[in-house]
Amino acid sequence: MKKVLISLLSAFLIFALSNASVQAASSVDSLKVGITKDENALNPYTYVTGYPGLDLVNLLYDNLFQLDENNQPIPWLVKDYNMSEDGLTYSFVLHEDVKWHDGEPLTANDVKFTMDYFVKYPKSRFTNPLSQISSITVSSDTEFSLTLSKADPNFMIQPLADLPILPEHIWSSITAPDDETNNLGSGPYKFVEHKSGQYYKFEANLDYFKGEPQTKEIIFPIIEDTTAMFNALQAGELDAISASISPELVEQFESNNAIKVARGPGYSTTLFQVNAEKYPMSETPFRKAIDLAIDKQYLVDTVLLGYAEVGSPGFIHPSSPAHNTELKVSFNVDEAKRTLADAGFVDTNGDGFVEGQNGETIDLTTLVYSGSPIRIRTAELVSEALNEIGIKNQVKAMDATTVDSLMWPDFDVSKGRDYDMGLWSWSNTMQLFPDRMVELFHSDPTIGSVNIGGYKSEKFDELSQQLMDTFEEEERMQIIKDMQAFVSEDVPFTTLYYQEIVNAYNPEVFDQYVFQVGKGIINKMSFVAGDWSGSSPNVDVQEEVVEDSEEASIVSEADEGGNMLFLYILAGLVVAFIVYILFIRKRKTSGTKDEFEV
Amino acid sequence: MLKFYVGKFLQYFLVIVLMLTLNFLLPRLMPGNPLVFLAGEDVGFMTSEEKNEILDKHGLNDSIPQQYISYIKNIVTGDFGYSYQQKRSIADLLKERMPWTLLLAGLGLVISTIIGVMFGALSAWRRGSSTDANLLTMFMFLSAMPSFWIGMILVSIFSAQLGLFPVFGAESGWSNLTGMDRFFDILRHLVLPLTTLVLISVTNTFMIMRYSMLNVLGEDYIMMAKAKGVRDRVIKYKHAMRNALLPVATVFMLSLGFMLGGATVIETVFAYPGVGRLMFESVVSRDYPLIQATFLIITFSVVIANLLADILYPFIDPKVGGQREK
Repeated sequence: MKKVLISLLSAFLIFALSNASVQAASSVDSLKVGITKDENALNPYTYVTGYPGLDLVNLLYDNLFQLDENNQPIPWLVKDYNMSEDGLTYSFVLHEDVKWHDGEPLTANDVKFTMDYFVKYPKSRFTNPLSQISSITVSSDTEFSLTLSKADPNFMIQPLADLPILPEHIWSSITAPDDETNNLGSGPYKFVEHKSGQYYKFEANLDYFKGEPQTKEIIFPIIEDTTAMFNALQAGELDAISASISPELVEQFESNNAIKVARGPGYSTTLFQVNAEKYPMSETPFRKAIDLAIDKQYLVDTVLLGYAEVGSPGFIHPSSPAHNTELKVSFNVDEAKRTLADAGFVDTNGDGFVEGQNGETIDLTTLVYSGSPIRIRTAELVSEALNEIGIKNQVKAMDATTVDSLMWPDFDVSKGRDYDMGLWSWSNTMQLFPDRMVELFHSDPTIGSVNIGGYKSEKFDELSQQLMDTFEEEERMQIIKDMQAFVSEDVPFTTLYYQEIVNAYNPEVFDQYVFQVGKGIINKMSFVAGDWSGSSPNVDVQEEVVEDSEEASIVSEADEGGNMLFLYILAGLVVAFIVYILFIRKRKTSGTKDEFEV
Repeated sequence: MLKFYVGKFLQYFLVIVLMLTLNFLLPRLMPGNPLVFLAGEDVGFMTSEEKNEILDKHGLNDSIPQQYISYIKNIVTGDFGYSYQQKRSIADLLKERMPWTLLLAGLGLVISTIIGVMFGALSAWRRGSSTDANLLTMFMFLSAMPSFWIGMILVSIFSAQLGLFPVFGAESGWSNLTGMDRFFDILRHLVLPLTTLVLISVTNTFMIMRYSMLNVLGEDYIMMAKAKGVRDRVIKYKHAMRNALLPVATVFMLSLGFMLGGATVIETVFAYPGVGRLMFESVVSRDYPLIQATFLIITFSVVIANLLADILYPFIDPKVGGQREK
């Protein structure tokens, strides 16, 4: 027993020592940023997620324009540009000194090649926005012009600030881009290695045309379990994390002096989706009653502990320039009940729940992803609120792929749907491009490609047509605002909230992160020196540092004390246990000896 | 003897065919399909033709029998195919992940068996004493705790608070360590997941050893040895424990088969890049070829472990071989 203890102790010491030496060797020039998923080969055809996958791709590649903090396009590879008055012709001048990672110069030919390549080998995100381009003319190594078949107000954002430029000398011989692993670009970082399921390693591109990047290398360890990721940040093993911190942990992180929390509006939108094709959700008063019954502010306060923005009835985020400020969030249980009763939904059999207008039984199911505690909690509260006004329903949590296959079979809205109601969410691109409202609600599945509720409204289709026929920016804004007003009345779904993005990092290692609205701190601006504050004053990003104020330090001291106490108790228990075992052993061996040897 | 082996062989062949078929059907019976992982984040903005093209490319529009035939063909030729999600050769993926699982689960199995045997024997030897009761309570308590919970507790104490061990991963591959430095780095990463694994799996061996030892201690030859005045130590280690090890050996060999998939939860909690985590990821993303490959590897190793047990048992326990030869 003694030997075992001694060897355990020495092993312990060795670990402690080796730990110390490893920490001393690490340099501040190396940054470790945790990500939650393996993103495969990081090129524009193979990355997996929009964030942070595409942002990692964008550290390796460059775009013609770059979205600033507030998602407004600023020139990047482009030095100078000119747009004709009708919005149909653009001419560009590129920076001269841009080089690919292998030293070859980046020229206008690469840009033309990239645009042609994406048309030849489609990748929807990049290819679709290119469809307006009717011709590309290269006039010199740095000059080229584009002619559009019709003006597009989003053209600067997509494709110009979204499309990564590929090196012609490498991609011209690639014919299966979906399986390609090459990721040589022109971006601020060079790809070093990828260990599947473990990490990516980037090193700085010292010849970058915007100046040397701010860290010598970045390592992106892959940690799927977010709890493990949070622990790793607190233990100092990670310097920043890409995952948003869950609401219940924000306070804990804010009270940790070694960690800085950056939070701001998130553009991911959580909504209560209804199947508008199915009775009774097909009835506008029924949907309206659902909307009235849900207290969105309560959801934000209890489920998200305030780290979210209450859903706007017109879907568009309040910090978006396209937001219709006249719309007010509605919540009124009495009015919800009245709306139901007026439309003929009354409780005829006295079971406490309403029946359909012709006496049909109403018993609905709300689907929700089982992987997300926040969504499940939200669904439960919504379900309770609906039961409260007499709409009988229960929550059913299933894994994400199963829910998808019921609500959005084959990701093709023309293939129908098999659900009543569900908790759903759309990623940030929906808010970045407010005209995507057309895709959300248009009755024609080829236009309304994400209309997963099968919602149909002639009025909305008319508005959509108007929007598609209008190129004047102010008029477009007005139509989008009208759309929001219409949607808030007809309620194809109920927008619940926009969860805030809460990122955290260790400011002692690196403190130059730029919080991009709707995305977070992992982006090109964070690592390339410059001023990316942009223009739009509409947005309020809060960078909160816990000052060494009395309150904060008291909290952390108390916290620390509690932990130490816990450790002492634990150590005491272990020692007591070992002594106990030894004692028992001694007593028993002498006892048995007596029995047998006498 | 030959007849025995032919019979066994047929039996195993049948099991393998059944297993291959189930392995093919199960992922396809799950709701949902791998489209979103094949197409990436913009699946919602694709036209039906684009989606169809992707499905065609991966043979997902073929009829089920057609898919089955190509599946069997690939297995016979040893071609695991290509992962939808990771867009890489599955053989490469497995080659990368397998060593980590073998290291973690292998060591876990060996250590938990040794601890389980020692304490199981001790507990049985002191049957009815407070040591026995305490050990029994402790091990039952351990087996009742969920593995992810133990893992999280260990992480929050030893990593987050004390900073002794790393929170995630199998090594700090990016720092290009070599030789002894790398060895210690891997060891430091191994400590917490291994401890968790041992804690949750040790009870099994403990219970079997304790029970088996109690049986042996009741045998006449133990009584005989005691009567002869053989020393306690000799009775315990030479007469009782060696004979009591038989059921433990069986369980050990069968556990060898489950080793690859057994540490899935722990691999996820500690972001350990093993086969279990790969399997979990593949199920989440409906990555059919990867699901098939990982399940295949795991089921195969179970079958092989059984086969091994069948073959080795006569050598370990001569009684079994003897009976057969009659």
